[in-house]
Amino acid sequence: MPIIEFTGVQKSYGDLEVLNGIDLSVAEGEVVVLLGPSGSGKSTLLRCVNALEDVSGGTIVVNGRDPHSKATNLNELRSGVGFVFQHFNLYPHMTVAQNIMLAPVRVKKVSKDAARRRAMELLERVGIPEKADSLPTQLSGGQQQRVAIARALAMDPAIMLFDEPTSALDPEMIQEVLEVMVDLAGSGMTMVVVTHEMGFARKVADRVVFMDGGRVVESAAPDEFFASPSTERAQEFLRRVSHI
Amino acid sequence: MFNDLSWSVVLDDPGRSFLLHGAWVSLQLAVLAIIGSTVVGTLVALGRVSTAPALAPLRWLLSAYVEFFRNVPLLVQLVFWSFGMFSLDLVRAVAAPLNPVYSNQFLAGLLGLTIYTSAYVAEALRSGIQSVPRGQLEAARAGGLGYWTAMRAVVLPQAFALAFPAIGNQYISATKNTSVVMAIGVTDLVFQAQQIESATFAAFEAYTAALVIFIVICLAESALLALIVRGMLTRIRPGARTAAPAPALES
Ligand SMILES: Nc1ncnc2c1ncn2[C@@H]1O[C@H](COP(=O)(O)OP(=O)(O)OP(=O)(O)O)[C@@H](O)[C@H]1O
Ligand SMILES: [Mg+2]
Repeated sequence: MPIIEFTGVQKSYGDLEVLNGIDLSVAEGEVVVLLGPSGSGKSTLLRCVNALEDVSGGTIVVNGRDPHSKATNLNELRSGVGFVFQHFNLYPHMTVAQNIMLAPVRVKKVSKDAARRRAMELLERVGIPEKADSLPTQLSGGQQQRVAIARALAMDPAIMLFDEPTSALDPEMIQEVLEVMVDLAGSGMTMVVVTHEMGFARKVADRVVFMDGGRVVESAAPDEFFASPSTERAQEFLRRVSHI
Repeated sequence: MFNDLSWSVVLDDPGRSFLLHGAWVSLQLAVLAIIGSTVVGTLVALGRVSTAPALAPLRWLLSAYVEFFRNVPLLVQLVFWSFGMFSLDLVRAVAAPLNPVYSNQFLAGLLGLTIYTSAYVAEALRSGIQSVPRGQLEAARAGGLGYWTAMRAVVLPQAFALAFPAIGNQYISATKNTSVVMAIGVTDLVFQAQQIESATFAAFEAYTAALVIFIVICLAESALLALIVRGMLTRIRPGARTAAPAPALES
């Protein structure tokens, strides 16, 4: 049974149809890379998974539950889905450790001591344990994004969603964030990643999903997708990104 | 030319204790109004930035509150609370348990000043909340925090820091506005100065003393607020050291 399943999902802002009937399923442990031109609806799709956006039609099932149903305990569902934003969105008034501890303490009622220990483990895992008591503004972009990943992992999510996690970073910091993500993928985490890092897609993705105009246009293994995309749109997209 | 002045009417008892008593009343009024308007202003701001469709009537009501109380002169509001509201038996009965400590005039003044100041604090905080990037609330919500928890833990602390220069100015205004309550019979600093004047005819000395006490209170408050602002803002915006409240004398 898929851990995420979209069936005929539609989303519009007024007259603008952003998602045009998305059918997509993600299996447990699968790493899916979402590609597509700007405005194709990648962020919107990702944000519908944990109901940061509501949908206009169709259904989504996440971990056996519908994030858009009134009957779902949304906070509990979101606890099981980590979200990493393009601009990190760390809480600037809290230290790195406090950023990571907030949700476990407030939502899961974990004790402060246990939450702190877990935060230190996670910081170890993303390679910056020495930054625990720094403020986010004292960190580089790459370090901030690694903290954001640790923060998302602190809730022990079954799924991790990444919306262009390296797009706001200086080139020399992209690698350190990608390494954390590669490590995470290796540990069996279910991941849906919107990215323009084709190297990451080739190396780590189990499947590449190409979107255009609010539809899933193509869905294939990375080797297959990059060697011979079957649609004209995907071919054009790949030509364009490879020219950069 | 000043040798006809007799400062002893304000420096010695009974004048001195009159003034100190008046200053104490004014200070209590200021502190209580500041605390009250922070609480009420925060609740109003939270209500106004809410997005739940079911709360639309509340939002309408709160925006009417803010517009109304910011557009009626404070003196008129104080007269309304004191001579209007506190003429009602019900209101007097509710206030009765407090009367051993605070007179009805004081309570009416406090109520009026708090409700008036709250409208301004609410507006300042609302714009502070709106200056907190949207991604902050989203990140907290994505972590599983409920809306109110996310507001309390993530958005409000930042909003307060951002809005504190403006809110601090309202605190200073509230302190200065305490002087208006004399008009409804509160025995505040200005009232006591007037008492001294009518007993001694030393008008210049009496009112100068009131003036000096007010300046000292407001400057001290302004310095304290500047310190708080610096502490709060440097955390979320390194380098933001300049955005302190305007000095008391300018605002
Ligand atoms: N809140 C909103 N109101 C109106 N339109 C929106 C809103 N959010 C997104 N859109 C529009 O929806 C479309 C899809 O946006 P989305 O952010 O999902 O695209 P994307 O594929 O993530 O693009 P990018 O690569 O630029 O991030 C765009 O045309 C965008 O302008
Ligand atoms: Mg996007």
